[in-house]
Amino acid sequence: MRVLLTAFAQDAHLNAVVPPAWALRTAGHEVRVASQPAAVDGITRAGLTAVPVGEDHRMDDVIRTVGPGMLMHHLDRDYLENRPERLSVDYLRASNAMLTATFYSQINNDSMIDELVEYARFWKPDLVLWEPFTFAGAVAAKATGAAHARLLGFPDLFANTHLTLRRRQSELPEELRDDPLEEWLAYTLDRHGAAFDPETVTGQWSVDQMPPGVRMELGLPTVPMRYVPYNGPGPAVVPDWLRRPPRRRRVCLTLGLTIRDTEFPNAVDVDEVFASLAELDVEVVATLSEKELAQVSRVPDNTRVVDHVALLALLPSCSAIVHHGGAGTFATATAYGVPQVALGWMWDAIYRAQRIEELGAGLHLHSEGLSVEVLRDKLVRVLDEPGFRAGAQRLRRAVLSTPAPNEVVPVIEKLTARHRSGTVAR
Amino acid sequence: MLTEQTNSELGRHLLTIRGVQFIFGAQGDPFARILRAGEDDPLGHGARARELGLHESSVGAWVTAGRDLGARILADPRFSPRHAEEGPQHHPGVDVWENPLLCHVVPLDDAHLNRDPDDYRRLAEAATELLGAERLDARRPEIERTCREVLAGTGERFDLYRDFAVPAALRVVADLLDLPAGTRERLPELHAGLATALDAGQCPQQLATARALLDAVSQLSAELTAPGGEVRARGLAGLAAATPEEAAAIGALAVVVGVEVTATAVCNAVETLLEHDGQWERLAQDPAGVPAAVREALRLAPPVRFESRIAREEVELDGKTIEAGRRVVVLVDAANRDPEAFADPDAFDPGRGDGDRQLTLLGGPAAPVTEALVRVQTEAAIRVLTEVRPGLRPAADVLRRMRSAVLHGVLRFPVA
Repeated sequence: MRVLLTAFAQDAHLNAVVPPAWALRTAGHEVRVASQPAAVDGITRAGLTAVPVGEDHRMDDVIRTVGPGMLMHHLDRDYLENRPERLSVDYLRASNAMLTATFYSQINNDSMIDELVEYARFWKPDLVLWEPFTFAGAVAAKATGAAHARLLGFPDLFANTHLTLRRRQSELPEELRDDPLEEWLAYTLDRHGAAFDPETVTGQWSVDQMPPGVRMELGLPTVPMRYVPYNGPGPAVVPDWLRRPPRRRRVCLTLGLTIRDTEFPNAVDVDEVFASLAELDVEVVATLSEKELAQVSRVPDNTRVVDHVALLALLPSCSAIVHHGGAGTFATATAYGVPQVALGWMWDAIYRAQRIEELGAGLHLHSEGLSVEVLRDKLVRVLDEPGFRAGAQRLRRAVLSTPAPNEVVPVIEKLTARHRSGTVAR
Repeated sequence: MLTEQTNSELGRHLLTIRGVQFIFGAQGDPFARILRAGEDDPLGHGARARELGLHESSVGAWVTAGRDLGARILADPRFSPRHAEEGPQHHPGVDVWENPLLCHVVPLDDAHLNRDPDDYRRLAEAATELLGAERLDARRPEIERTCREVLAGTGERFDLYRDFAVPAALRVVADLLDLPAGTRERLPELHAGLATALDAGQCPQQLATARALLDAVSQLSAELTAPGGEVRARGLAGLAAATPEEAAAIGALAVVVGVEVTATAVCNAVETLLEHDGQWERLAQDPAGVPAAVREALRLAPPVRFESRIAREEVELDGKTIEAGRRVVVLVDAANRDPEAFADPDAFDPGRGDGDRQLTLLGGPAAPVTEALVRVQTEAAIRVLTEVRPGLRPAADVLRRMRSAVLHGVLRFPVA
């Protein structure tokens, strides 16, 4: 069959698309990956076939203006810790209006959607698999009769918030229901001769790469798929120093890749982190860009700074990881059973970090609470208390017991046959 | 002027402006919070705006909630509903991320809500025979009779907005303008589309609502003016001092403002009076007190909550320079409770000596044309309601329209 995968142009969101794309490819299916032109290089570096669609999105420009307001609204603990039922309808509406206006409709710019639909009309995919913010994929599928599903690489916090708003508003008189996401998708679909239904937001089903315990149960049809680490288009090379066991326990420090080339203010004070690690009897490997390193006043003696190393090469040798809370870093650490100290304060980062604590696989440290002593204490606990290594190994086994992408392909084939509309001529 | 924009273009425009209001609202900007029109108390945001003095809102407007400065702005012809440049008042292609030009959200020139202050004065003069205060005072018995008849058709429990305030205003306006039978029949449906007119220019409506409004505006123009240019309504055709274009504009304002702003004023007045113990019963016994009571109620709950103007030239205000083309907003509801202008500003006191200092404009910028029409109808409605239903009580909470930042328009007002 023909499978069109799509994710808006941003590496962190494209990464989760790559392993399932390869599984489909090696199962003999035709696979294309569509995104804005800026992503072509990243897609082809992953060995996949890119379809550039539309003009590049302007998310970074917009975030410069709206980032502070957007984040300020979403600092509510009930939002960050996934308790949408405790949030007011007013709050949920504000979140929906902001995200739709300044994020969803920005990363799914009109020209990108229109060219994706055009390409789907030409190529006639049987299935469109879309990254959960890349609603263009649902539009293209609905315009052409293809089956469509979401490909989740992070906990489904956003859909949960939206579903909660819809549920709460269904109790209100019709004149008081306000859902900018639905409205935007409705006129966008209408432009292509299709109509909105709730699956435009949730997919006909979702392929979910979160392990049990972290995956959200929203009552939507879900196909669990094992997360297979793929750490982005930066070259994945095993350096010399990673070919022998470390002399001391090794700790990875990373702030992720997204912060390097976007405007999201996800800053962590690296000096403070370094100060926490300096006196410990460990070997630290810190992945920092030149720009990040320039902010640092002193690199401790026990620390090796590298610009880039694929986490899948580094983490198997690590006894712990301190990271910014990002989805790919978290998932790679869980896949290798490495205990984590997860910083972070926005979007799904806190929810994820709290699950790690609950599952005994590490500790959460809210970025605001970062201090030399607190981080050192948490890291020492994670390194020295055997429970964390055991918890991380349990989580690793849960990851490994989830069907691998290759095993999920037959399920995807069946679901596609069931959902694909028979009216599309081949 | 019906917009040429496709649904996607208009939809994205509305969505983006709405997003900007929410984003800046989240950062605490009081005017952005007011424009969000959420469940929070707009008077709280107004009070905070007053503490800031004349200030620049991040949604691209100078804002004041002070009574004296507000009065100066509203009386100054350099502040107009429209930009100095000619042409339609609408900014569809503007990149709001670069330039927060968030006024004139949809094109409403044909609803005649974006005219110059001089224009409104000229229209008011031309409309004197029809909508002037003396003329309408003379027609009070007729207007009250209409209110009585509409009220007689309601049951023990009824909806003040849907079953009384709107139908009564529709009949009064249709009678005054002496509309042709067909237009009279279509008026309720037209009003349903027009109800958001005062809100939609300031606060983006949902796409379907905005479309319905724009359609209704162009239908109203077509109903009032024949293809040859002559006015169809006899009441308007009889205005000797008005050109056909002016007569049509007067008719449009009578419908657009004369129905929805009146219905809002009636609901606000009833709600305010019922909230204050004994006021309703007092008016039932002393109908002569109605005008003062309505005036005081509409000070506390004005039907047009804020006024938006554009500086047509550079203006110095309170030591600050307002550049030409910038938007200036007067938060009328907050200014009407300015403690520096009103003694015990939150108290309901129909006899207060400072009541005339309020900034309430019955019809926003078009008030010179519509003020008497809205006021006389509201007074008539309250007089008839207090007389016929002296025991009137709210039967449930008043439900207000969403995204109604200007009017706080009513959806339902169950009374018994």
